[in-house]
Amino acid sequence: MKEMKKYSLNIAAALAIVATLFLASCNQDGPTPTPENNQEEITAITVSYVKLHTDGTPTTDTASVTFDADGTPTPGTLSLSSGNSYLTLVTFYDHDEVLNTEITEEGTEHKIFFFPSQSGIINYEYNDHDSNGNPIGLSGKTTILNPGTISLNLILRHGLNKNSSAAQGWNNTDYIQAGGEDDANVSFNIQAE
Amino acid sequence: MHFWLKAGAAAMMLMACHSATYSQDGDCTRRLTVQIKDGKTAQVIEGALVSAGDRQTFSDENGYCVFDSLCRGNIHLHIQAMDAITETDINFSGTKDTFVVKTNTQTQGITLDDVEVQGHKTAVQTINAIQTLNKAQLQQVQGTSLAAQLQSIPGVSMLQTGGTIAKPVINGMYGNRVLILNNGVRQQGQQWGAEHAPEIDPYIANQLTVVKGAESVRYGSDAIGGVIIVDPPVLPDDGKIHSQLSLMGAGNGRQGAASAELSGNMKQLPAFAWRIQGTAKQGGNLKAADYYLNNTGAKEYNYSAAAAYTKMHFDANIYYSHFNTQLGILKDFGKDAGFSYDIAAPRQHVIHDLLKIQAHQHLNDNWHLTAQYAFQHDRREEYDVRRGGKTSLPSLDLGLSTQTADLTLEHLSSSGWKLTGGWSGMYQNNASVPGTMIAPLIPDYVLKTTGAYGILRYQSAKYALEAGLRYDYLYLSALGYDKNSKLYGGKKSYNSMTANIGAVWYISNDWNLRTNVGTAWRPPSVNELYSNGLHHGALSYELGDSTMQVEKSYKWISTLSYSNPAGWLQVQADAYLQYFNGYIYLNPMDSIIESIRGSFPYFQYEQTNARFSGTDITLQLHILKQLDYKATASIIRAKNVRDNSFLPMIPSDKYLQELQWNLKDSRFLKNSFMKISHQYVAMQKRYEPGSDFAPPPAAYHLLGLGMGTSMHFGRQQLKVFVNIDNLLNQSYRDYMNRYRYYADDMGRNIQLRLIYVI
Repeated sequence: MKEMKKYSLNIAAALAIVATLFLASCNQDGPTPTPENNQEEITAITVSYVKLHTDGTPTTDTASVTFDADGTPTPGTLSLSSGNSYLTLVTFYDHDEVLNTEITEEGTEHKIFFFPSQSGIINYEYNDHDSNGNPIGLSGKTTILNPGTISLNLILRHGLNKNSSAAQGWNNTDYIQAGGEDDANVSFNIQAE
Repeated sequence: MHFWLKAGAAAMMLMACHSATYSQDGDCTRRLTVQIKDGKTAQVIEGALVSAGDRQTFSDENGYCVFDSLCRGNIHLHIQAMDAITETDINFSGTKDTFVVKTNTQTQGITLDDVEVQGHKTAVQTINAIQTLNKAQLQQVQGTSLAAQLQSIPGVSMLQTGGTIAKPVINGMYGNRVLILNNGVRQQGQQWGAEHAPEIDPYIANQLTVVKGAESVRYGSDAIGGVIIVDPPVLPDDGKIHSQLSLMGAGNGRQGAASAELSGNMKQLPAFAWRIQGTAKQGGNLKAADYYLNNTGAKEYNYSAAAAYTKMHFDANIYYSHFNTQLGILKDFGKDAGFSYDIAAPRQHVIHDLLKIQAHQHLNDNWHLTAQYAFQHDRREEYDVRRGGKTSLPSLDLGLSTQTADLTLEHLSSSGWKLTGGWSGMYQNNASVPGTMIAPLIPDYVLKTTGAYGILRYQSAKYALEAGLRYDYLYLSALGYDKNSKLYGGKKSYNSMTANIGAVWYISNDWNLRTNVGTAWRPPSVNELYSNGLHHGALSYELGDSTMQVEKSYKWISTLSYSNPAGWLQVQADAYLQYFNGYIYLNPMDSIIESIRGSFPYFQYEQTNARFSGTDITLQLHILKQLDYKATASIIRAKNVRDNSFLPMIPSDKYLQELQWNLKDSRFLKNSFMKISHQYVAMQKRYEPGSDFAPPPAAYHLLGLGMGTSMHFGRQQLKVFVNIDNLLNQSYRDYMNRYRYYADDMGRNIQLRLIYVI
């Protein structure tokens, strides 16, 4: 083992370096996470139907449905009158903060679609527009054409191409072809009589 | 006796080899003949175990041993005869190809010609089936991702997320079940993610090796499915400066890549050698057969530096690499956005830094010691389309720091026994960088692991035997804030023993059989334990299970190789059977999670018992002197044995064949060839209906063309390769591409590669 002595200095040095570098870092204990100021979620949605006079001015007759973070509507069914029009207002919340301003500011990237389970019961027209003149859907007019009970699916689409033919209209079932993704996708019932 | 020695010698040359010789001009077709004689008596020595680089053979009754397909350059010989070990170096750059070496009882061998000491590299000495892509083969596929470059090896497929992200899959296993060794360092990035590609620049590789057995004894957990070894070239030792420039241009995506390497060794200080290298790549939107894939551009720039000090019995080296990539993720499917180089959200930006320090010492004739320290930092930022101007803020911003230390002791003896033992330790810290304004997908954590192993190997002319044992201990402490700002996490510790036993039988000159049975284990990864929420990228709700135990597996793999005496037929077949206890996977649940964002399929991480079996076959025919045919087949059969159902994301049967015409060398053009290839990927029929968003896509065929040549001008060389993938612009989707629900795979791709070596 005479040869070992020659190299023992090299080995000792190598081991010392390895050990020091390695063990020096092992003194930290557990992880110390920092809470994030979560600003991403839509935690609640309110859809309000304000009955309109025949001249288009609003009455005080309002029916609203609120969706919680699980997408559960309260109440599950709204009763609206056939033959009437309603100002339709959609409000998105992140806890206490109303997100509508953000949505309007980035209006060219957002659009709300409404999908009734049966055709011929309701019709919808958009009231608002983004900077390109395309509708958004935070404010609109729903007209109840005929009595009946339907389920209405409301989808807030984000990042879509609003000029695409698949994005035109309020109930275009090809909307996925226009790209983007769902930011909200909830359903509730309308009983029109 | 002589027959077995010849058999042993020939058979060992058939063993998959891992050449450590430095080749400057890529000529790796030379035959070296060495005759071993006793230093005192000048008698020829029969049965000496001679290693040239990492190849081994025994000398015959006249003391001769022959090594085929060696590279030009310096060869380091390690000769074990009787009780003596002789080490010597041979200058194999000239025309001389037969040498006489005299053994000596001293450690210093007699060198012939120049005494230029080779770097000492640890051989991939494993009983397991290994397959290698050498420099010449890599040059034809450079510029693509690591996973894509390995596709010609049977049994290797890839898990893709669109065209820009690919993870290598070995025998159906990927992610945390495949270990990637980046220049001897365990690559540590966020491998748990299916859309997290390995952060390695394949341009640094001189060779890519795939080990298909469980190598848990040697490397610890995470090698349960196999190992991919990325080896940079050995540093030069000829006192000259070497340079190489590689350029690649590809039509699909209008991609360009350039990589340059400069290495040298000073004549005044022959022990010192260095290399610097850099790569830059950019590509725009990829194109499927009929339309552009929107937002599939990618940009990458990497650089590395290495330096080594090498003496006869000691060497030390240092290596640093930097990897920086930006990738676009396919979006707006169904809309043909045309071509663009722009990368917008959703996108990823990943930076990976690696520093390695290693020292290797021969304690005496028989004992070698290696110490290695490595530091890695992986920073992963993922950007989604967000509201309120937050698109420029990452949705995921993780910093992963890892330190590893490894100590390896090897004992070699002339009697054929070899003992390897080692200790390894790792300290890892994952922390989310604050400011994302969204709860991170995984908690912060600290992971400490330590392991020790011993492997005993016996090598003789007729057979080799190996047995290994390893113990690992792992401690995980995780803590994070969920989306409701509540703390979650926990402390866990895991430990496991793994063992393996294997044998190689050199049946004859033509046949050899190797078999290995081993156990392996893997602790559940942080996302498998703690996932809780909507996985945006996957449009599904994933729930972890923090009570999960380790995954344990038992794998038996056998490889039979045959090469006929006339030399025109070579066949290799691997067959394997792997049983998992506690196999962790994402199980689709019957229920749906309702949230304000909609209804999402609900996947739960679960443990079950699984069985994997399969075979990989390679057939090579030299039909004519200039015509070569090669065919490979890969088949995997996997089952969830607890409920007798099929497992998701298992590659389907894949067949590849190639016909290559080699043109005669002319004075100017050498190694010229033309080849046509055909790939058939079968439809994955082993699938549970309703377990996925869409059923597996149809089977498909792909045709490819390739041609290449190499021009020599004195010391300089220029190689040119032209490849056309998906020649017929076939429109297809691959089951293992997670974006097959939305878009086709890549269409035709014409690539040109130029490699200039000085």
